[in-house]
Amino acid sequence: MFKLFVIIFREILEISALLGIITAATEGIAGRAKYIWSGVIIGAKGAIAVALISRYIFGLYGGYGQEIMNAAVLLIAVSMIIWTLMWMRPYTQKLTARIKDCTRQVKVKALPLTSLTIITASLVFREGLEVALFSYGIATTTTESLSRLLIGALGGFSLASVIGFLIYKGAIKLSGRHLFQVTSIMLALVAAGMAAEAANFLAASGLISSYQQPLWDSSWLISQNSAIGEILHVLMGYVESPNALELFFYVTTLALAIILPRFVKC
Amino acid sequence: MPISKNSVKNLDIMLLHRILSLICILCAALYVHAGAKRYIIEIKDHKFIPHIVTVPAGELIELEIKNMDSTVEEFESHTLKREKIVPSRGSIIVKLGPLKPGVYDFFGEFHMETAQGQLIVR
Repeated sequence: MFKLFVIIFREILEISALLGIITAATEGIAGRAKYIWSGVIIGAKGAIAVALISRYIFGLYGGYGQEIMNAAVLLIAVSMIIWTLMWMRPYTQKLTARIKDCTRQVKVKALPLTSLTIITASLVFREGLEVALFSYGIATTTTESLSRLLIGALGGFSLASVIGFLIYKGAIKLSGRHLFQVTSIMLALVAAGMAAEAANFLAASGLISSYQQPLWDSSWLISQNSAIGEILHVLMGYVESPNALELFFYVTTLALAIILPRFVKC
Repeated sequence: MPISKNSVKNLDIMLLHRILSLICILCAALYVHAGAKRYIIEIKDHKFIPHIVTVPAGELIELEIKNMDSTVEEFESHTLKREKIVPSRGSIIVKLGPLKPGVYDFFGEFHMETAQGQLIVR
């Protein structure tokens, strides 16, 4: 029961923390909750479907189907986050004004809102797949009663969701009228971290084999195994010893996420 | 100028040729590790056997992880930068290297209490 609790808590926390940031970043945009929820449902269904056919998919691409799939899903999420930062830019003034008067909702066209669905679906799919595979394994081999398992799973899920909700409310409360700027930077860092992860999956699949030498080691300062290290990893892609490929993906994505929106006409 | 049927066909063929070339390049890239030495690690009762593997530095390496359990496991290592699900009663191959000398920890994320191992590179 506790093991299920811990693992489900960890995986769901990755989703809920990022969802908290995205929900805070889009605060005030009319109807965005619907699109985010759709993403959650699509991601969850996709995770269950792929879990069922995982043996087949994982064997593709010379046995590196997993790596290719993970890299693709991450890069899709990265490009969607950058697009979101771009299409939200013209609404900065309206959204900031709304913070003082929360009765008004800012209307946005439907097509850009689909980016939120795709980002959410990507996140939920990636972590959800691990949860689905793990849960199925536990359910078929454990000797514990179903009710204890459910309590463990629901407990982990609930705690992670609560933390995600607190991140959402906390981000809004602490940022004040700078909410848009703060969440834009946070999303840019999240995207950069995801891009670096994608770089590792591309290297793991053998598609890229250079620039793999680690450049430095900061585990003495913050270890990736520590709680703070894991938090920094989820929020901004912190790794102890990045290699040149990760650094390149990270810096390029961060630059694009910060610079491209400034070219959008307000 | 209206596009003639012929030029559309030519564009289609060019595009197809480009896509096929890209696929060939991608497939070739996957065989970079063709000469690498393979080390086998089994997962039994949520433990890695052997849990310490020594490999040479500066060379391409493959780890074949065979899951003898009926539960799925996730082979993961922060320092090796690898994360891969090993299906129950299945196996995966993890490409590594060239690695600098040192000790690299790896673990099974779904059974971290018992699934711990080290890759010693020297």
